Amino acid sequence: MAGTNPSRQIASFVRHLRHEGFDVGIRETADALRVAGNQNLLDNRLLCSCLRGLCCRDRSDWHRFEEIFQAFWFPQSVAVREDAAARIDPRIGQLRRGGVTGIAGASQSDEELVRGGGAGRQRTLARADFRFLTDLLGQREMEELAGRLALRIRRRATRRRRERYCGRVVHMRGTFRRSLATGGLPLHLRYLAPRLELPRLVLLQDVSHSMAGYSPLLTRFARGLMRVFPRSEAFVFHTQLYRVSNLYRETDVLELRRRLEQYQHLWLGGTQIAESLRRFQELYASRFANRQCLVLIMSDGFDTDDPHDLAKQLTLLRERVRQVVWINPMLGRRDAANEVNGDVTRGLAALVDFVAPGHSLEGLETVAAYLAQHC
Amino acid sequence: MQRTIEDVHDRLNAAGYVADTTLATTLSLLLQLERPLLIEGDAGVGKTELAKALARGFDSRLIRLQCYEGLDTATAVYEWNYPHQLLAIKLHESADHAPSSEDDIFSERFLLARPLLQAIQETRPAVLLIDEIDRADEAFEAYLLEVLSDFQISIPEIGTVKARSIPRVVLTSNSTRELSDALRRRCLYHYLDYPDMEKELSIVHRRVPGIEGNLARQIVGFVQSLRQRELRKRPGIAETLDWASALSTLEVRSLVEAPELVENTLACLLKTEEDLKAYREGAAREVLAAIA
Repeated sequence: MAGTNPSRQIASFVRHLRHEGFDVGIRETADALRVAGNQNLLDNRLLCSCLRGLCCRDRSDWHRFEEIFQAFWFPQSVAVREDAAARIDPRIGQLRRGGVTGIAGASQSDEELVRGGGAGRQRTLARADFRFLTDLLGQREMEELAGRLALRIRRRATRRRRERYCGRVVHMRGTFRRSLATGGLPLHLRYLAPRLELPRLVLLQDVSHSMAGYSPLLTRFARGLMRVFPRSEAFVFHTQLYRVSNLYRETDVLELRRRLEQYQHLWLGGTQIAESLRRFQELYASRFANRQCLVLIMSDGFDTDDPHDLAKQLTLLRERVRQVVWINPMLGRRDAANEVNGDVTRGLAALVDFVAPGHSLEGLETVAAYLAQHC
Repeated sequence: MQRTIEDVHDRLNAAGYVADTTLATTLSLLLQLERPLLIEGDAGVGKTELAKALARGFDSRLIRLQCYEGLDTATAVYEWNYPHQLLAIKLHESADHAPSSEDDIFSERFLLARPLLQAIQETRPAVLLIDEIDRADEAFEAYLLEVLSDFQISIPEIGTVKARSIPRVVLTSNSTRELSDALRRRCLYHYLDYPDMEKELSIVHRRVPGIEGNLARQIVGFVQSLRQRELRKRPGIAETLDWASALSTLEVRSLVEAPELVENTLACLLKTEEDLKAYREGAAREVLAAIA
């Protein structure tokens, strides 16, 4: 750290942070140099704390920072720890070095799509199929983005306003319309008031074996939605249906992972979508499903039950609730498995209000836009 | 810098807030760079208390703006005192000399300063706490950008009001929605986590004077263990302090010896019916057994 020009090294570190996806610019560099000029540069703990406060923008930056700092300023100590860790799990070495590699079973175009870094990395990840991200860092990053995407809905949903008889903001269009009755004189004002109540969302997530590749992404998205729609309820199903609302409300990701490990019986089984929907209607629909409620089903549609049963259950569900949205990860794929699934999807589209792809962030973006519009 | 950090640490300490070096460093950056500080963390970890302690520690005025959905500039920045303006016009009319110009009506005399304007009008730097910014609308967040980057407020009828002193701005967020990148870019950042055992113990000793050492250690151990478990709402530091005060008042000497009292006072820690029911039906005794 003290070997070469410290100012140049700090500027280089800020540039490195930018490459790592931190939102830092010239101002941060200038402030970092100003702070560094006022303190003892040999105290790396102090420098780390200063730069952390200056350059982090959110919680994920905050938790990543220390490791990036150590790797940049003290690469030898990190390498020693990496070697020790890699002896336990070979994936760790690859993860620490960054980059999305080792894409098992992906086509070349998929692999090219996923590989990337620097400024374009976020955009690349948005289009990447989650199935092909075998890199833990990439997966975590994508899960984080999915969670943020869900939170963005709240901003859009609460921005919409309703016409009211009283309020602070005059609704010009409504007032003009009312003025027609008084010959154009605006005697009766109409106002705009914010929409305060968001509808209830019921999430039904397929966690069967065929969905294993997409479950982390969709779980993160579902958790984001749970935070946006406070009265939501979440269920997971394969051959059984489980209520997981409390589990999904956990805000700490590390804590969630720990609890997920305790709930391993919930994941990876066969699929009985129709039976699961029937059980939902029998046990929970009277409490949670009404005409103000939106149901979100996240499933690839592969079902061991009779397709007519699924159609029947979906029809019953649609009669009960305001809208049913189906997120299908298979929709974004262009392979043999999807051709089989194509017929299922076409059949589903007639039974639900909206079908969206759920294999990538771009697919989830369409769901977010739809929900923001219809909530 | 080192001296500033130590000074901040000592001042917070004197104000009754136990801060670690990382937090003291971030606060010293706030003072040195005069940039706003955005603090995120779970509810009950002491975000709001930090701003209060900062004000106490530096003997500054604390100006608080509590955000909510629908918060507008009239509540947050300034508003014209319309009744007084009308009254002034009427008085002028009756005295047979109308106000000479619009400037007489739209002057600082009729301006009602709200928290943001108050903060930049202070002669000594005030601590401006913008609490739960994630509850405010996107439009208000966009408005804040001018205030937080240039410390000035544009009032169309008067002009631009520049800050007499740069306030120490602390924004808090519980992450109920995503904040804009523009706002984040203008702020320093600190993530406040739940305190570890030693830090929480020292907070309890500081805020509940007279509590017995053994009881304090058991209370903190119980709460720390509770946070690791499946709960709808995890207890924050405020809950720990409430519980410690309650048990201290009830003259409890050891949690292990009074399991029934623990169950009866759990309402201080657990805030949902679901959690309370689960822990009154035996789970609390499991935690007690674990910490014994």
